[in-house]
Amino acid sequence: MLDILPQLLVSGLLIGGVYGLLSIGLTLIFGVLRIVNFAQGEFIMLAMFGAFWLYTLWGIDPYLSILIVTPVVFILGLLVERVVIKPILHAPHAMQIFATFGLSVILQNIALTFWGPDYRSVQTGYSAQSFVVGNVAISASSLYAFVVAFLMAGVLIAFLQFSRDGKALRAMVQNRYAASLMGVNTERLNRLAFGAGVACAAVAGCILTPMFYTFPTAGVDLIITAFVVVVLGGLGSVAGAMVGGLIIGVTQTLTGFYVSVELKDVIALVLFILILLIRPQGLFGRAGMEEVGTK
Amino acid sequence: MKRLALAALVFAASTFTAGAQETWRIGALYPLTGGLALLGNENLNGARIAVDMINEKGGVLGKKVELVQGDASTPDKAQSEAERLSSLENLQIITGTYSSGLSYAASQVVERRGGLYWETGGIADGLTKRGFSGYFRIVFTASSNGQLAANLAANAIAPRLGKKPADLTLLIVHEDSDYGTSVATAAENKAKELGFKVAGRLPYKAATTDLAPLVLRMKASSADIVIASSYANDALLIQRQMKQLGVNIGAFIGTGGIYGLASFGEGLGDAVNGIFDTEGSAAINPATLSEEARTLLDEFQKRFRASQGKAPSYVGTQGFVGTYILLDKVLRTAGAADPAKLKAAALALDIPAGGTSLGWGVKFAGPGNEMQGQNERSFPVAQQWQNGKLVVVAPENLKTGDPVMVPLQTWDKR
Repeated sequence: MLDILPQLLVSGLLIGGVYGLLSIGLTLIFGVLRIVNFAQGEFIMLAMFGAFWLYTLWGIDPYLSILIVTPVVFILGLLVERVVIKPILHAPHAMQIFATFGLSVILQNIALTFWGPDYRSVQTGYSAQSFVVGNVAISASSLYAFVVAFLMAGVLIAFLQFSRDGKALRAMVQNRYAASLMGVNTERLNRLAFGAGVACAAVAGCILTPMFYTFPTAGVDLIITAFVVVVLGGLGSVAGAMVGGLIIGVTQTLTGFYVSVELKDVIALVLFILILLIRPQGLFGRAGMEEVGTK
Repeated sequence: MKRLALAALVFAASTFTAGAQETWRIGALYPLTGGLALLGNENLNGARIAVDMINEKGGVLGKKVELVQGDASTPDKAQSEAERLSSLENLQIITGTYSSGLSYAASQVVERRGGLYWETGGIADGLTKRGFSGYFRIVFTASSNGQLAANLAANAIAPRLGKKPADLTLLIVHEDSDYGTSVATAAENKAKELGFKVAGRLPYKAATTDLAPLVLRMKASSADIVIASSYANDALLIQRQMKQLGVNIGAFIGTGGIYGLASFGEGLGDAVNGIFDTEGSAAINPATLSEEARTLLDEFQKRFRASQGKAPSYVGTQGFVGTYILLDKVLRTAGAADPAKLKAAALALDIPAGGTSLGWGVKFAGPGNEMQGQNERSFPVAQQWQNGKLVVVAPENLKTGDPVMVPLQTWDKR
């Protein structure tokens, strides 16, 4: 039973990378806007449909379709920010939850109306391919997702650290009013952050299209774990989302094999609670993060 | 001239509807949105064609049939929609529901109000163990499906692997809802009875992004045969991760649902060939069907293709068959939407095997029977994916081909 351990660790890290990929946009939006975007999974689903149709109609590889789908979803994100998010930015939490949850239901049903409930899939050469190193098999599509997740996290962290907008965003996270008094255009940055957050979902959607079925409620299954990962990593922390994803991925895979496949989520959640008991702000979060900037 | 003809047609249609003010109004409860939308809609589309065909032949006793739809996307909604259909719309007949969980919730309401619940899709055994007098299920049960999977392993697969069941290891994996659990439990019990070495029964959550641990346990158990009850993504994940992780087995049996859908074949390409699937099938040997059943099936398939642009799956066909019998046999005999007459008409049905388009007969277990309301003449069949199509391979009298590709080739050759 122990000779399989290297395989379990590798499989766990790979799926952890996928979780990180799914979580980055969510944590970015929360970090800046203080809004939990319950429609994040639906943006992933829309991107999956985008990648699916580009592949089916014109034979464009899902990885290449990132270049087309991401800008489209980014613009959609800007529109949604203007219509749905901006009006509720200072509303009570319950109202924000209803608004983004409502958005998710609307997007699901738009997809259902236009494309029907069918399970659609893309058959690429790498959909079920793997590289074998020693006695460990590495799934090609998961490996690509893993690499893209880390690249995306790296780009985002660099953007937040070094670019002018990134610095302004961080200033805004620290104190929204002080930042706006210093001349930071908070409305524009809110829009940018939401657009960038759902653009991350678009990248994730394209990357995952070769791995999963595409259908109107595909986002629901994919995003559940991402919420856990975001809180574990620390709300608003991109690096935290990646580390959180890896921890959950490895825990699920190990317990899934050694304990019970059915209980793998339960045990990961118990670990999650234990970590939060010791660090309530999450691994990389700052204490009181969820309150900063809401006043 | 054309316009005139059209105007005349419209006029004729409007006077017609005005003349036939009274229709049979039948509740149709299916999950039309949400996670179960695909097969819920497929089921309803089958039911709709049954209604169209009946109406074009003059309806039932001169009155047209009208489906009043309800969207039962979750058990809660199934219950409230059943409440709406039976009280606000005052309907005595409700048909549905595709999913067992939804059927449990909705039929409770209808039974309490004394109406007729006509189930064409939910297979959990417990549905007909409640002693409801108004609940009739035309489709086979989960346990008969699980038992068929184990029997297939013993009768068709074991000889082709050149071994006796006692020398073969069998593993059962299933999604952990009512459907997966009941099919898998029946398969496990039957497999033990047949003498297989059962390595275990592994439940998992269908809403998952990764099944590597499950597939690796499959590998560690060195199973020769795997029986799986899955929902959607999980079925695709199991096959793809088996390939990625190099897990080779002798035979793989899926128990209906996604395993019989075109999207499963599309998702796997050539790798789908050789996989077995146990559920109902419209592709059984046509010689076993009655003349009427064959004609109806042809007509249904033609219409389904025309309206949906694809061939009907088994699920669409069961919606058609169930609804057609409800209208053509039960409602016609009862002659009124009176629950007592409807129930009596249903219990009096006696259609021999081959009398419906799925090969089933119809005879419901009566009051006092442990499975009251269950159609005792419905059954699943075993199919196999061959050249991207499903071929019926068992039982003997219904099959159209023999099992091939046993044992399955290793993944590097598939």
